[in-house]
Amino acid sequence: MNVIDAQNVSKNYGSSRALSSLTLSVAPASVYALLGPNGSGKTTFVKSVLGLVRANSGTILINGIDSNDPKSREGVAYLPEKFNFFPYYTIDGVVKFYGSMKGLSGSELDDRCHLALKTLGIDDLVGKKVKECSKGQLQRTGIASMLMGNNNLLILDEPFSGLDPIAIKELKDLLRSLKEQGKTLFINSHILSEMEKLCDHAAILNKGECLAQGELQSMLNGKSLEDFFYERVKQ
Amino acid sequence: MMGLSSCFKHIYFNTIQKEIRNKSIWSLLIMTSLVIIVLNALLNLLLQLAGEFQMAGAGMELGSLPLNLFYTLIDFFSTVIAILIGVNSLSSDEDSGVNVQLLSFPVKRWEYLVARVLGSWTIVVSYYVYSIVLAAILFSISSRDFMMGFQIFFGLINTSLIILPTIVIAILFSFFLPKLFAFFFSLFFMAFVSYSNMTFSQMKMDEFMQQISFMKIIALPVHLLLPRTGALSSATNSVLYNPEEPISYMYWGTLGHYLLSLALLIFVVSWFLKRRDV
Repeated sequence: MNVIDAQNVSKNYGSSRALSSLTLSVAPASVYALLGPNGSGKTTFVKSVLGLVRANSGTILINGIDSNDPKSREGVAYLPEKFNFFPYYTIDGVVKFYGSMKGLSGSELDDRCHLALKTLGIDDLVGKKVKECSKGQLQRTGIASMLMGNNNLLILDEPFSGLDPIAIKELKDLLRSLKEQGKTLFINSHILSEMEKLCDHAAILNKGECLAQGELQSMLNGKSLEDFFYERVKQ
Repeated sequence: MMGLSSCFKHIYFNTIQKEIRNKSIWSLLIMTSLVIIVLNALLNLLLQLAGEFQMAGAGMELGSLPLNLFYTLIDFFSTVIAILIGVNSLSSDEDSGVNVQLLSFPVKRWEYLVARVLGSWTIVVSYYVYSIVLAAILFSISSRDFMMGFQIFFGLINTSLIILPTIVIAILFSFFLPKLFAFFFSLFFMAFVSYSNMTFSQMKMDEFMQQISFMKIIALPVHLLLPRTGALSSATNSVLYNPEEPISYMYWGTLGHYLLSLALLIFVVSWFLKRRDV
C-alpha cells in the first residue's frame, strides 16, 4: 500500500487554479521530492494531504485513509515552510508539546525530547524561548518536533530554508538516516541541488500541473535534475 | 461514540497558557480591582456619613446596593473580556501560522474549536470569580455582613453560562471580520441578543403580530435559535434584587433551550471552520 495516494486532485482559489488533476503515489520508505517554482502548487498539495485545504475534486489517501479524516494524520509529522510557535514557549517546551500531542507522556516524553534535541544539536538551547531563537534554531526545533511520536510519514515544506551550509549537511544526513529507519519522506523544495542528492522519486509541478514524475534516475535519463527541471518548466 | 482525541486536552491547556498572557485581560483585571477598591472606599465614607446622620439600618442598604451595581459592572467587563478573547482565540493562531501546525495533528476541527472555547472560558470565568469574590469580601467588611450568599452563587453560574456562547459568537465573527470590527460587532450583537430576549420573553404570538416591526422580525430568529443570554441575565438580576422571590419556572426552560441552542451554535461555527482553508 502506498503511503500517499492522490488521484485527480484539483484545487481552485477563486478563479485561480492551484492544482489541476494531480495524480501521484508515494511508496513506503522512499524520499519523494515535490519540485516546482514558487507558486506552482506544492504547498497547496501538501496542505491538501494534511486536510488543511479542501480539494475541489479528487481523493487523497494517507496510509489508505482519506486525508479529510483526522485519523489519516496519526502517523504523519509535518514541518511547515515557516516553522513558528508561541513566543513564550521554550525550545524543549515546543518539542514536548509536539510529543504530548502525539500521545507521549512521562519519562518517555522527556527521553524522546532529549534525544530529538541532541540529534538536531540544540540540546544546549534548552530553556531558550522561541522569541529569542534565530530562524535556523527555530527550523531545527521544528525538525526535532517531527521526531517525536511514531510517525511513518514525514512531510517537510522547504526544510532547508533558513539553514546554514553546516545545518543543511546535517539535515540531509538526518533525513537519510530516517529513510534507513523505514520512514517515508515527502519533501517540498525548489533547491534542486540538495534534492538531487537526497531523493529517489520526484514530481515536477508548474502552475498546478504535474509535468513529470517517477523514479528519479530513470526520469532524468542521464541529465542533471537542474537541466531536466529547466527544460520541463520552460516548455 | 464520538470520543475526544488526546490532542484536545493539550490544546485546552495551551489555550489557558496563551490567554493568561493576554495583556488586555490583565489591564481589565487591574482596572476592575481598582474600581472595586476605590468605590468601596467611597462606600465606607457614605456609611460614616450615614452614621453621623443617625440613619439606622442605612448601612446595610448601602452595603448591598453597590454590590448589586458591581455585579452588573463585573458582568459587563466579563462580556467585554469574553469577546476580546473570543475574537483573538482562533485569529491569533491564524496570524502566527500556529493553526497550520496544530491542525496537522490528528485532531478534528470541532475539537480544536471546543478546546479553544473551553480554555478561553476558563480564563474569563476565573476573572469573573476573582472580581466577584474581591467585591464581596470588601463589601462584607464595609457592611459588616457576609455578602457571599445564594444570589451571588446563582449569578456566578448564570454569567459562566453567558460567557460560553459569547466567546463562540466572537469566534464566528472573527472568521469574517477584522479583529476590531469583530470585537465591536460582537458587542453590538450580544446587546441585540439581550434586546431580543427582553422583547420576546414576555410577548405572546398575537401581540407579536399586532406590534410587528422590522427589528422584531430580525430579533425573533435570534431569540429562537441562540442561547438566551439576556434571559439568564434577567434571572440573575431578579434574584439579586428580589432574593426572597423563588426562581421562576421559566428559568429551567431557558436552561434547556440554552443547551440545545449552544450545541447548534457550536455545530454551525464548526461547520464554517471545517470549510476554511488554513
